Amino acid sequence: MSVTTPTVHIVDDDASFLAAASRLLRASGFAVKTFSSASDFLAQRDTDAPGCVVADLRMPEMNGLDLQSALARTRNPLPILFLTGQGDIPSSVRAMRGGAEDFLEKSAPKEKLVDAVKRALARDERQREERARQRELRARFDALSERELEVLGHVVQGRLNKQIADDLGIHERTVKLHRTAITTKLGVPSVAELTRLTLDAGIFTASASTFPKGQ
Amino acid sequence: MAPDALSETKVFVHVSGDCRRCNRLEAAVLPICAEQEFLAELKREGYTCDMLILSNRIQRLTFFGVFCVAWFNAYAGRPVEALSAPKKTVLVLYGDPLSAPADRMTEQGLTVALSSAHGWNLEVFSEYLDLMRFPAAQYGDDIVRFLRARHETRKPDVLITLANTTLQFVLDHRDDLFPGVPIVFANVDHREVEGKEMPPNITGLWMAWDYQRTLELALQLQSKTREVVCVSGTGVEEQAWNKEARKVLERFASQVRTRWLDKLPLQAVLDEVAELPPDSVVLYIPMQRDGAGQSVSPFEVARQLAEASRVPVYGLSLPQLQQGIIGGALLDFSEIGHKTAALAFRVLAGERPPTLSPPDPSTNPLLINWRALKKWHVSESRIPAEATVLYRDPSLWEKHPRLILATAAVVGLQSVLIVGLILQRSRRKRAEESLRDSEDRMSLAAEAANLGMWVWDVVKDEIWMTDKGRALFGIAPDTRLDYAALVARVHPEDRAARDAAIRRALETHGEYAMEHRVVLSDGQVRWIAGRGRADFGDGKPLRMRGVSRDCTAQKQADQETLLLRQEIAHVGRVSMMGQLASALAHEINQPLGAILRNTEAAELFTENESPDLDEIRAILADIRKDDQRAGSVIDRMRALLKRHDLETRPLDLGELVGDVASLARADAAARQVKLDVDVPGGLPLVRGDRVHLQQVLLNLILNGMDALNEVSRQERHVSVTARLDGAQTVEIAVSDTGHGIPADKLAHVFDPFFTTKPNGIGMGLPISRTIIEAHGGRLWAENNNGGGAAFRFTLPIAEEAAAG
Repeated sequence: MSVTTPTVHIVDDDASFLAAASRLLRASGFAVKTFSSASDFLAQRDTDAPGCVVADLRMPEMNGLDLQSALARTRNPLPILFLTGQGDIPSSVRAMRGGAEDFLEKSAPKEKLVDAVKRALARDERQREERARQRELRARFDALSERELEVLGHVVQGRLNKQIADDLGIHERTVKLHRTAITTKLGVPSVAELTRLTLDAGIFTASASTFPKGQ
Repeated sequence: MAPDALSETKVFVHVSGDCRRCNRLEAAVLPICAEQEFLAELKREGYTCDMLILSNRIQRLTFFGVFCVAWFNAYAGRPVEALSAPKKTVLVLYGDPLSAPADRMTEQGLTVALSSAHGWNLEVFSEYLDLMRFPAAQYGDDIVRFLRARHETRKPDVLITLANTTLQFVLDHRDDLFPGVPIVFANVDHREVEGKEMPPNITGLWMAWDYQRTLELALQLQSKTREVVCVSGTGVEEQAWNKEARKVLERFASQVRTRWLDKLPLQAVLDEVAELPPDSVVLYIPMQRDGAGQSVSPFEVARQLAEASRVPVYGLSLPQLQQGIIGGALLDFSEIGHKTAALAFRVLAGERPPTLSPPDPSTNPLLINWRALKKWHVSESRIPAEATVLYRDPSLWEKHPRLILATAAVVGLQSVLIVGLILQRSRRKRAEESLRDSEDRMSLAAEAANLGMWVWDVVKDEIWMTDKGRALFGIAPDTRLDYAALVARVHPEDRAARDAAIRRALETHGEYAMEHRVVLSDGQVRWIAGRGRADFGDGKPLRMRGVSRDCTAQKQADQETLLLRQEIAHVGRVSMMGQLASALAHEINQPLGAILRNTEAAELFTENESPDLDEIRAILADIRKDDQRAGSVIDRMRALLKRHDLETRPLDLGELVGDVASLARADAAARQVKLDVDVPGGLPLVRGDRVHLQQVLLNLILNGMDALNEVSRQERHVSVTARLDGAQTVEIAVSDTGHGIPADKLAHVFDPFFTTKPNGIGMGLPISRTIIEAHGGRLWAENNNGGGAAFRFTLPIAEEAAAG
């Protein structure tokens, strides 16, 4: 969890609009940084900083949609809010599908813009918390040994100890021992809780290979 | 040849020819004071005479020089001998005058021979005895006495006698008359001497008729002859001759009959021969006494016979030929003269007189009288090769060569002149016709083309103009016309320009061509296209010729075409704006958005208790700037969308291209195309219409961007470049990095309605080309070496810039 103030990153090739938008958002109480092109933004931004991106959809070389997909691939995928002189339908559809926070005309009223920025910042905060929780969960799961993770995989699928012992070719008593270690390490009282936590952490989505074969 | 010219001019005659006296070629150069008669006679005698007219002194002297040398060469050895030779005396005794012609001819020959005797110092005396009329029996002693007395002191060294009687006389008085003096005789009948004992110191020639060859000639000339009629006399000599003749005629008995007219009186003979059948000929044996016993001149008889006879008369003696007989083997008495002289010289030289030998009549030349030949219609083609034709009438050409030449020359000249005149006349006629023709054609063409022709006499200030031309200017026919009168009809706005054009033509020896308006009396305005050329003399303008034509309809059509073209161009621009609409909306929304944001920011700032005024000022400045920015986009759009006439003025290319680039930039950004502009700063101004050229540039840039749809984003470039192309033009190129234009379509991209785009109407490039060509430039397409296409066009440099 970062303590830095969220920053609104404005990316636009039109210097005049860049200055005006920056002024308005600063006056509205936001911390603002301006970039005259998408590539400048990607190169110069504070990679961990919270905030959001307000970008012109139509820019030379790397346009808004390009920026959106490039940003999505980074560790800090800030929410992106598109502004456009005159948006066309195919572009807006692509933008929204790409997870854009909003799609506004450049001449949209101040309130709409400020609300959208606020929403984007809130979302960023949410996403950031979520990402922090995940990281903490993952740290707990990281404490499990290879064998324990293997056993966990079978447990969350509701298999019995005996079945797990057969599958892994170990004693049922050994399986019980592993289960106790898992629940202790993760601090969960029940199997139901264990299953929810495992899915939350996305352990097996991230590493499908750990699923037992032949199921 | 005019006689007076002859008398004044010394003429030298070179005589050459077949001399019939001595039967050999004679050539001599004789200096003579020629008289026409003499020359004519020489010619008649069968000589050719080359005359030299020596008209001046130098020619005469030269000729004399040449002549003297020639003469000296020929006779160089002789003069000394001649001067030193002892003087010899020759006495010639002539006979009776009845046979005069024969004797005279002998005398002539003799005289010539004696007088031209070189190397001899001769003195020649002549005596005429005329013993026929003064018989020797009666006057013999007196004559002897007379001759002795007369020639006592000049005793002859040789005695020459002619005729039978003379020889007889000399022989009879041999002892009294110059005894011992050698005698040479001639013209003696052979019977007189043949078989007679001649004293020594006597020699001579006797004559004999050649019947044989004469008859042969007659039969040769007239092969159809059946009868020979012999005309002869009754004298002693004739009887002897007749005897000889009969002998000869016997040899021809198988071919012809013979009839004798030798005992008739002359008149009877003449009557007889007048009635002879055509297949007969007359052989005339010289008659001295006719059947009536009358003494006649054989020479005269020959003439009468020739006149009377129906058939040709052949003779034996040369003088008869001149009397009209047709010819024969004729005894030439003049040659006898020459031979006699030669004999006399031999005797004088001391030679023993040659022994007398029988005469050889076969040396008598075959002679034919050309005139008689014609008279008796005897064909010339039968004349034997050895025969000589005399008295040939000189042809008209021979008679008057100069006259004929002169006449022919005059006639020739006249003919040439006449032909020349006729040719000239016909040529002139043709020229006139062709002139009239060309005039007709010209006026027809002028009429058909509505052309008015005029000539302006600059000096007199008078204008001649066809009725058509007058009608064009609204001027009545037959009124006097000058420059001012014509100018009065010209539209006031066009007068100055027309004046200037005409003045320039007059000053620069050139032509003028211009279109101007005229105002007709009813106020109607027409357009006239005038063209004229100035004529100069001594460097000054004399007149100006020209044509005028009503071009109102053409002007209207041009105007309509122009309007239509502008309409099409406008449609093109509107369609282009459609393509740009979203890009332009973005371009306008950008400053509008900035203005809005700035305004909102300013509102927020002013809510502060201590507003930052500097910030607010900066905001206001930005608002103004953005407002202008939006306004300029709208202006540019509106300019392009407006209907617009073509107005050319000097333009800065950098500015023009920059404006277009800013219109296209938004679209380029939207399509992720990099638009580069490279117009060097130092380029001269071009002449053109801003809006139309922007349209062309925009069209080419949009096309370039369209060509990049299939190309990856990193390679989407459109560049606009300009460079100087020669001294008069600038070339602008719009290139893209697309796939280029397929070779089979390169030729068609400027065709109307040709398009490769799904939404294209195919009018952009044809319109662009029309616009560029209206500017006097050229627009074409090509593929770049490095890929992609380039559209290039040229524009003329503005005159001000080119001059500067």
